[in-house]
Amino acid sequence: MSVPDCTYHLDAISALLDAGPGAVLSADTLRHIQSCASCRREYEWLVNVSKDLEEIGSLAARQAPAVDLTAEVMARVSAIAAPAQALKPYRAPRRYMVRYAGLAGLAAAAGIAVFFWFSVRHDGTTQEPSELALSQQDNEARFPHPPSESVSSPGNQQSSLDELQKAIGLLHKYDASAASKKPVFENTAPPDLHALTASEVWATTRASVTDAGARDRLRRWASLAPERAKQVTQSPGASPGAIIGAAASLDPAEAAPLLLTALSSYADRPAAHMALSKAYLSRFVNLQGNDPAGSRPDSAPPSGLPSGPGSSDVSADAIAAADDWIASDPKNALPYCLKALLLLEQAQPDIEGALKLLSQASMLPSASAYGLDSAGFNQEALIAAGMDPETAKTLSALTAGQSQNDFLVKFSQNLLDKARQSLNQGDLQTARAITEAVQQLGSQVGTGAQLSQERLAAMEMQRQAITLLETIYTGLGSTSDIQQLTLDTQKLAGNMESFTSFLNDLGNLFIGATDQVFGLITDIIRQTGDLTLFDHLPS
Amino acid sequence: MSSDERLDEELMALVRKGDQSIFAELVRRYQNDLFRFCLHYLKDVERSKELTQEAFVRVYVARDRFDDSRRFRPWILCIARNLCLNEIKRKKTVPMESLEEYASTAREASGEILRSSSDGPSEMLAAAERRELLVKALDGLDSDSREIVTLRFFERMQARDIAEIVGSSEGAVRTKLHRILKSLREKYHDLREHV
Repeated sequence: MSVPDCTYHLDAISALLDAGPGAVLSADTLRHIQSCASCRREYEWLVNVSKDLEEIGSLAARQAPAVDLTAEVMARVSAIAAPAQALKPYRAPRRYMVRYAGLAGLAAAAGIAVFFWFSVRHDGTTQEPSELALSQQDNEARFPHPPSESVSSPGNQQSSLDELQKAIGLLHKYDASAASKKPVFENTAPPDLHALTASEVWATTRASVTDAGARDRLRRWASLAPERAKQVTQSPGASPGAIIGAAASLDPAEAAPLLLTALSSYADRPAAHMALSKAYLSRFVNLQGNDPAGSRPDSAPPSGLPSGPGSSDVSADAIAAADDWIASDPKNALPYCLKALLLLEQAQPDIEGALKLLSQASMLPSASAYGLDSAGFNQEALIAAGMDPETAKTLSALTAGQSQNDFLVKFSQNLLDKARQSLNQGDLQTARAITEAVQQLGSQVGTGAQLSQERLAAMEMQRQAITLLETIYTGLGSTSDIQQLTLDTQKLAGNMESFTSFLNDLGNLFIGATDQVFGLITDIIRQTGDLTLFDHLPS
Repeated sequence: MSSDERLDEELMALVRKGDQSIFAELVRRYQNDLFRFCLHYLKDVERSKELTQEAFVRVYVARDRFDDSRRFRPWILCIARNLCLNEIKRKKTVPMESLEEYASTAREASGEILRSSSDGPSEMLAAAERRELLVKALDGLDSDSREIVTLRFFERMQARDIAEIVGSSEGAVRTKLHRILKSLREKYHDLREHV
């Protein structure tokens, strides 16, 4: 048997480093160390350096401040757990179905009702082409140096990607954006405001479950013609709510300056000022997306209108409105994200400032665009325009949240466009931060939602963000992120499925509801929204 | 059995079954470890607190994915590490704190010199000098190597746990550690010659 050489004993000494407390060298190695000066030096060095390094680490650890984050973490955990519980699994409230909907309502097959709320996709062709266009090869060319933490074999990554794509396929069954598609007003006769009755609205709501034309008519009736809306906003006696409600019927380019003027008139009334600030900011942010920089041949804006993205004066007003909103509503993630978009829209984008705001927003439990408040403003505007108050209340309740859905989906698209710009410029981290923030905002909007239209917007925001994140994470080669995204996607698909059941039941309830029941439904929606409608209906 | 006596992995199994309140015990156990770990990467107390929170939230969100045949600590440290590295990339700051600064800040704060309580006065001085040089030598390492040193000696983790956190194999970590210590020794001797 050969005598072990120094290499053998040096390996044994090295192994001691990882052997844990109490480990000792073998008697052979100890004897060797006593007789071999070189190995003895190595041994002493390793023992001393280990001891020194551990001491350095201990000292630093003792000096680090102690923290207690238990309450904050558990608050966030509760916020996460709450919506999941609210959505899973949705149990159809049959007692209401039987009592209120009757046989006619129950006979409406689930798929029919869903069609108009969630447009069921028949193929994948409606995916965002920009994401589809980025093949795996494109990604590798674009991101040749994946970051060091993403140590994963190509096989693992491909398998994770396959799982993710399968999960995303589930999302494409649903098109939540269909609910926010603008109605075709050209095919819809303008209403006679004075003649419209609540009964007509109820009948049209029943029809809207299975008839897209009826849905368009409802939205048309709940909007004012532009000329009438302008008259309401400029009327000397108009309440701030009526101004906000009427401005919602105008194109953002017309609404924003009118709201800005109203803002200055109500500087001494904090609540009105705040409501106007929110409305102005919402319209201004949508204006940004409608009027991309450089798209107009004539860069000068029409007189009295905001001058579009990058214009420092208008941005200053909008940023001031965002700051007001944040100050008055600091736990709502939405205004932080709105301000972030404004910072990105500036002529000199403040990316760092925007990312900081998005990061702050992501720490908050929920987000809200206040769909119920807007329904109230819409009601005031319709009454100010001459509609019967009961009809106005019914219309505003039964169309509540639709303009918030439009706004939220459009806003998140604008933010995701910024992420795509960063991606195209090779700034993958900024693209990632923005897109993750949109995904998170979608989740927060879902938590804060009171109306089904808000929850639909929340799902659509998440769906769009997930589609872009697939591209970004693939580019990063980060298997753990892809796996997490797969879980998020599966959860979203589950929520969509569960929510589809709820919408089916809502549709069935509407189909079978008598006028008297509709009156009750209207009151409940105006007070608490439609998401808890079944909880509030008497059994 | 109180939650205090249970293994982390047993607590996670309960959290996965829906016992949300048990998660608070895991937060209490690991918040300071995690915070210090993040602080080492970020050098920013507030941001480290935020990312510590975020790491716990991600653990909770991913609770169904936790394999209780594996250990909890490396898993949560891996999550925190990824968050910190993303943050560093996002801010484009220099990754990993200077170890010299790390140690000297601690020394200044405590007013003590680096020493071992069992040493006599002359050993204390020798050890202090040795550690001063060692800290300087550490700063000559690349950030990946410093991370391994941090995990092995500051966080006192074994190679298999380090491998799990950095996404490598146990053997590769051992080899790397061996190379790092060899390099550290050369740098240390160079510095001692200059002194």
